[in-house]
Order: sequence, then structure tokens, then C-alpha cells
Amino acid sequence: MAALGQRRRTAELECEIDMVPIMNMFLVLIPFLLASSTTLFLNGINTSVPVMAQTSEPAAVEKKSEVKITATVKLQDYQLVLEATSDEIAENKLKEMDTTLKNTNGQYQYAQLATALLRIKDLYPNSDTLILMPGERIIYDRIVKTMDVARAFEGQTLFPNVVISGQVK
Amino acid sequence: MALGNALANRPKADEPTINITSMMDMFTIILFFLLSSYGSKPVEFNVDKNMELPESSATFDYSNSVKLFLSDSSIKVEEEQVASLKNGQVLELDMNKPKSSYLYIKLKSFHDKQLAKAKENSPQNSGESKDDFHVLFFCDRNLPYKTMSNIMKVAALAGYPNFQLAVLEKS
Repeated sequence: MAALGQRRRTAELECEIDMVPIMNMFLVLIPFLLASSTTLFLNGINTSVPVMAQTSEPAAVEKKSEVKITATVKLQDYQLVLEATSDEIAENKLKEMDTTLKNTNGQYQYAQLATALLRIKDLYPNSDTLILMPGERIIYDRIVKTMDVARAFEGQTLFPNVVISGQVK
Repeated sequence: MALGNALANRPKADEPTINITSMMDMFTIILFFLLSSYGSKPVEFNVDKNMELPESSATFDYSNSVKLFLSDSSIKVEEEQVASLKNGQVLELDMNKPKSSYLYIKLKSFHDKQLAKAKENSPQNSGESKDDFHVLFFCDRNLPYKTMSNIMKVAALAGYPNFQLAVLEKS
């Protein structure tokens, strides 16, 4: 009887996991990760400035079957002006897509701009280029915000190719 | 002697053990946090202290290329200052003769080097290489477009009409 009790007591002995090697591993990993952790996440927006072509290659202009609209957004001090251009659509039809969005409380109407761009994109889904024409005093931050709106709105891609205007000879 | 006996006969105290469970918990949390913020390609840039980059929803990865820094007081190509700014005006740049500016000369030399390297690496040394180099452009968020525009024009003249605008991920 006494032997049985002794056996039970031995079986109930607590067993502890040796945490020291795990702690050592953590102590090595944490300084390493701290050293290589990034505090700021940098991204890039691809853009270009139009360059005056100097070649006379005939392949420069290629006719495509799908109608494409090139949207132009002028960033002015007190308003945003959206204009649509295309060689394949009549002028009066293009005019219908033009919009002027006056600033409210000194801020651009980005939501309305996105809606107008979305309308163009719905009508002509192959359109992918937007020309941004900022005024001289428009700050860079506003240009980037407008580019963000022009590229995508509520998860839908609008005009992924944004070109900043300016001509170089 | 009596004191010695008393000490020897005193019931032995259990060895003190440190409870490291809470420390393990803390380390685990820190480890997961650091793993989540681990940069896949951490690169250090020497950006001016007073330069503020704009925030953007853009999620494209930047590619390492020639870096052009435009702050409210200076213009740098890579690490070297090539011009200075005062009230948004570039002091060492005459837009009537942009090719005489040091900014142009510096960018042109970088472009020529990249072009020569690309030609060397082009298949079968055919001598043809795709000229699609770009500038990674760091610009202060509060600078007006007029200043930016002049710099971009000079860069385009030097062979860099394509830009990657460096922006910070929206927090």
C-alpha cells in the first residue's frame, strides 16, 4: 500500500520546460530585428514629363481600335479643371465630360474629381492616361494627392499612367 | 560553536526561482511586432532634416536609381549638393542656359555612366540598350510646382524624362 502511494507521488512530479535557450534565442533575435526594422516605409510613384519627339518614325502614332480618352486635370489656385481629349471622339461629346470643380474651404474637391474620372472610365474603359497640369504655385503635396485620386478610387483603377505636364525641347 | 550549530540546523530555504513566463510573453510580443515591421529591403537615405515627404496611397516599390533631393534650401544629386535654393528660386540655374548648370552636368554624367554600363551588359554586346533610366525624386511636400518643374526639365534634358516620386506610405 505504501509502495503504491510512493509510485503515485513520483508520477505527479512537476516537469518544467527549460526556457533558458529560448530566452537566449530571443535575446539574439530582438536586437537583430531592432537594427533592421524600418521606421518609415518609402514608396515610389512612376511619372514622367513629356519630351518633344525628335524622330520621324512612322510608328510613333499607332491607331487602336478601342477608343481611349486622355484626361487632363489642371490644378489651379482655386479650382480643378478636368478636360477630356481624344482624336476619335467628336468635340461636343468631349465637352460633355469637362468639369470645373471650385475649391471648398480652400480644399480641392477630390471626391467629385474621382466621380468625374470614374464616369469617363465607365464610358471608355481603355482610357489609362491622365495629364496633370499644376499651376506654378501649387505645392507638391497637392500634386501627389491628386495623383492618388487619379490612379484609383475606392479600389477601382482609374488612370494608372499619370504624366506631369511640361515640355522639354 | 553554538551559533554554528544553530545555522547548520536551520531548515534550508528553497532556492529562489525567477518566473520568466511574463518575460517570455513580453519578448514574444516584441518579436512579432519587430517581425511585422521588418523591412524587406531597408536602405538608408540621407534626407535633409527639414525635408518632409508627402504621404501617398501608392504601393509601388521604388527602385534604386539616381537620387535627386530637392529641399527648400538645396538640391542634391546622390550625396553631392549641386545647387542651392532661396525662396523657391534655384540660384545656380539659368533656365535659358540649363545645360551650363552643374545640376545638368552631374545628371548627364550619371546618365552616360548608366548608358555605358547598360551597353556592356546588353546581350551579345550588340551595342543597343534600352534607355529607360529614371530618377528617384525626393521633394519637400511644401515646394511649389514651379521649382519642381525647372528641376524636372533639367533632368529630362540630361536623359531622365521618367521619374519615381518618393513618397511615404500613408499611416
